[in-house]
Amino acid sequence: MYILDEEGRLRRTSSFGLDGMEFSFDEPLSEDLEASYVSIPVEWLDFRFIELDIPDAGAARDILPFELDGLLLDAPSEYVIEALMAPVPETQEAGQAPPRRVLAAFIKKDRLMALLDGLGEAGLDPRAVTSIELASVSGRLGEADVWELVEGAAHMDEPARVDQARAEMGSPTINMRRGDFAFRGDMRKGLRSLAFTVSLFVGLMLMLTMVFSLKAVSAGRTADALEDNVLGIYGEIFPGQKPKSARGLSYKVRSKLKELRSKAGSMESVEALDMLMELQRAMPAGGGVRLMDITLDRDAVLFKGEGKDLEVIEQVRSAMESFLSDVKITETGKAVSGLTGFTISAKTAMPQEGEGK
Amino acid sequence: MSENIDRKTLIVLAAAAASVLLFIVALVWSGSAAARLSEIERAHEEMSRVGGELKELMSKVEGLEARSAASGGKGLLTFIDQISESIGIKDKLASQKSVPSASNEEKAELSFEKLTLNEAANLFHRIGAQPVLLLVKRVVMAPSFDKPDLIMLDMTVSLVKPKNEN
Repeated sequence: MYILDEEGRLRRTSSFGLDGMEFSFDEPLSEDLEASYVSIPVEWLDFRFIELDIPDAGAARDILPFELDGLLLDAPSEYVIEALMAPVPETQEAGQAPPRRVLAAFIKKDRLMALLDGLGEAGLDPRAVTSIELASVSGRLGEADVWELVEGAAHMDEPARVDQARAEMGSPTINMRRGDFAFRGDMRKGLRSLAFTVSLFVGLMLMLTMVFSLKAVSAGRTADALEDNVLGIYGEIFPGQKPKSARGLSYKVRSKLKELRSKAGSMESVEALDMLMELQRAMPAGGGVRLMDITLDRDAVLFKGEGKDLEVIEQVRSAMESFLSDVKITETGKAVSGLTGFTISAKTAMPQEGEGK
Repeated sequence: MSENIDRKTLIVLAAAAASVLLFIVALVWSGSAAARLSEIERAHEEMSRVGGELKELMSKVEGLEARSAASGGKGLLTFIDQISESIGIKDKLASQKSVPSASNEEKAELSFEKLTLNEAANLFHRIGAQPVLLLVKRVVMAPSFDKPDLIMLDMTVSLVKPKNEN
């Protein structure tokens, strides 16, 4: 096993034993390998030369299963088949149409699966499954029998094998990892990255869930305590009534308050005596104003009188504001007596809190 | 191998979906709890604010209703007659006229002539001091035509009775 660095230089070699398809490394792999490639022994492959009117290996790969039907021991679907285009003979005239010689290299699927499973158990997931021996003779296909060619290649020296291996890592001559056996390591990496992102998202969601749950629990407890308080106050106001929740109580209380204000108001008397006493206090000490007519209703009062001038009338109006609201001089004019006649209107009820709600 | 990936992907997606679902549930729960708290806070504030006034009003209305039940079957004009006589202004009661009113009250318009301010004050005081619910609804005071120092007093009074008493 050749272990290369990022620059493609040979860092070290490692050897392993192979029992069936079980790999046992002589020393454990210390490196975190970025990628691995496997060159299978050339005798694991079978070959057929076929002449096809096809320009490239990609198109040949699609056709080969049909071309090989009947030429193999088992059905073509039992094999992974790779195509390798033989070089165009120099004797072929320019512009002359193919056929091209295509080398079909194939391996039984169950054998390839066993190989990949064995490598997987050893912690390796090769990007490509190629053959260094076959790659080394790919430029000479057609010159001799393929078995003769690869037999010669099997005796390559170490540096040549390393060089060939390096070249195969860049662009494998053949790659038996196709179809169901295609390399999915990149997709798995993407999935792992996605899984990590999703895990972070899940973590965030769980944290937010916890925060909102705590908020809900806290709000619930505060609401329970306040609700007990509200029900207690309600029970004091309306003894015997025990509502189950505070929902709607606010409306009931407002409604009851309105009803009671109205009821109390309808049973209230015009406070005529108080009004006379207040009016006596509101009159200026030096005189100058005389009230003639006084009309007192439950909500409104009207005063008609005469004063020596507007200033003293305004004094009276101002003094009335201490016991009446919305006090206005609504009319003034010359009286028969020669004094200034006036009319003052006011409201008896002071505005109450919560009215109009 | 691909089955494993699919299963793991499914597990991750299921976890994400479950966490989103949990988050939504927590969000809705939190919103609902906050809304309930807000409503109860409003009710508490309202209760604290108007509770005192409400109790005071209930007590006042109870007192007024108790007074309305104390008429003992006497009519409004009887009470007015008694009051006028007690303060010596019966001869100044120029007119008294019953007017239509609600079923649980008697209402009348009274007209007094040539009252002194003191007599008027006494009249208002006596009406307010009655054990029954005798209400002054309207008062109009004006100087007498021939004696401007005296008062001409028109007033509307009502006697409130319990609802079931006719």
